[in-house]
Amino acid sequence: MKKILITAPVHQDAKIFKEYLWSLDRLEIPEGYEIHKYFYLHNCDNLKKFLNFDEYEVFKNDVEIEKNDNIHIWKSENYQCTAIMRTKALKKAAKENYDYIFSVDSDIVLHSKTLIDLLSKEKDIISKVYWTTPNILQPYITIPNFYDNIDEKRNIKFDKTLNYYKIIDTYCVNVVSNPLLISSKIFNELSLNYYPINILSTSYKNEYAFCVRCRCLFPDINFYIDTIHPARHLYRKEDYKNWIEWEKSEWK
Amino acid sequence: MEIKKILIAAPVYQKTEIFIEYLNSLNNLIIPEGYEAHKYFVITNSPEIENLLSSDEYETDNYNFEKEKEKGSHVWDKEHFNSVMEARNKILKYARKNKYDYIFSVDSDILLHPKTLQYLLQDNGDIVGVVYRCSQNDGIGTNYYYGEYHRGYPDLERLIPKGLYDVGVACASVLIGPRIINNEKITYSPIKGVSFSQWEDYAFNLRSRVLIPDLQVYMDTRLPARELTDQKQYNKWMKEKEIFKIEANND
Repeated sequence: MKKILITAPVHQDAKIFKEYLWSLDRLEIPEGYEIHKYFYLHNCDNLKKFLNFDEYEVFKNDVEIEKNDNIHIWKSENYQCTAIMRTKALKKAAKENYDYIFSVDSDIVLHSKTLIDLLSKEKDIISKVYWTTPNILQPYITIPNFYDNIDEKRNIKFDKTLNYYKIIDTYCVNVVSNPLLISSKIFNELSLNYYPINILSTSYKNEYAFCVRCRCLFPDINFYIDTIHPARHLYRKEDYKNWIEWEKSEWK
Repeated sequence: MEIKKILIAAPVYQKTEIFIEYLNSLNNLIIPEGYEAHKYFVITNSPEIENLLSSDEYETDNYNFEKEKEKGSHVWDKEHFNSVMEARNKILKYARKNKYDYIFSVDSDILLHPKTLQYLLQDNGDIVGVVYRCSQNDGIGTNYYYGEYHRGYPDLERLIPKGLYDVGVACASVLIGPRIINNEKITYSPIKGVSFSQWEDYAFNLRSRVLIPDLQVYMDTRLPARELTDQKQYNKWMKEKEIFKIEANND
């Protein structure tokens, strides 16, 4: 039996977290695999009640995320906290002999076939796509959860136009983030972590630090993004409202 | 005591007259007791320079550049980036294969103080750079970056007092230690997703940071080197070199 650790740092509203767990519970698990959930509850003790005692640990400090109706403002302290929690998950999976980590942020709703899709590709690092509207005032602009580059002004860059990725396929890209399936070959490497690299300011972003480290540690590895069955990002109140009122009943 | 081996090396695409000055400066280096040094150059399109060396001191690396550039010039485009990156990887490979303890990578337009190696070996870092003033950018800038590449050269003034400093990135003229030579994953190749890693020295420093978490990178500013980037610098050097020699003996 192969073991998959589904994990995330969690700092979330209860109602969104409930939708998140709802989608995890509906995931189809391929034969020969078993899943375990483990969450790092960052200053949100109220979520304990949704979990078994062996499915979480509490991570407490005085760092909070600023949110308004449009965007979430992530400061460097927020990234530091998630880097610590994500790294803890890597080490836990290595220590407890997991075969995969499936890292899924707590505001993501997955399609039930997600794990089947990702495992069938037999990659060491593969992500499932979702699209987010970065600015509510420009609803026609959506960006995906991967990119090819990031510049010193913290703008993310793509090598191809985004329309290119609208065709359902599995693409090789430079930087991937959640929801991310990571094989044990990767997380068994002890020096892997999510902490910033001191001569690369853009590595304040957890996924960027992780991807750059992987490139150095595993020179031959490629990162993939799978675009069938996109996930849904419950980013703002508006997304949640649409999800509950319209999308959930149709969700596969 | 076991003798430690130092490989003095560089990719070379250089004017012969400048290379002669460079080679003299390397030959004048004092090799501390307990060490032995060998030279090894990857020479691009410069048969005249090959004639100045014995056959075990170089390998030939002929490139058909689409756009020839002036030898020694500091104008960079993709194919020249690639040729230098590949040459530096060849040097690393050569050092690994022949079991060198150190690589002293000195770009072919840098003239060193004879005592440089003595100082750098004592500094005991993984990457230790020798400071020089760069004649590009109107003389502002040196071959180190305190923080990171695209921030340019912050904090330049702090390196003016002679000493040994922690820096983020050191390049162009650096002593590379055994921990890096022994880690075969460290190369100069670009890293996908990191745009500044087209600068092969930056890719090298970044990989070293990741693969050796407690990496020690220093700049030694006690014996500044000179850089002969152009004809003007060369002419100036030819006028001043006798004075430099006398001064160096007194240091």
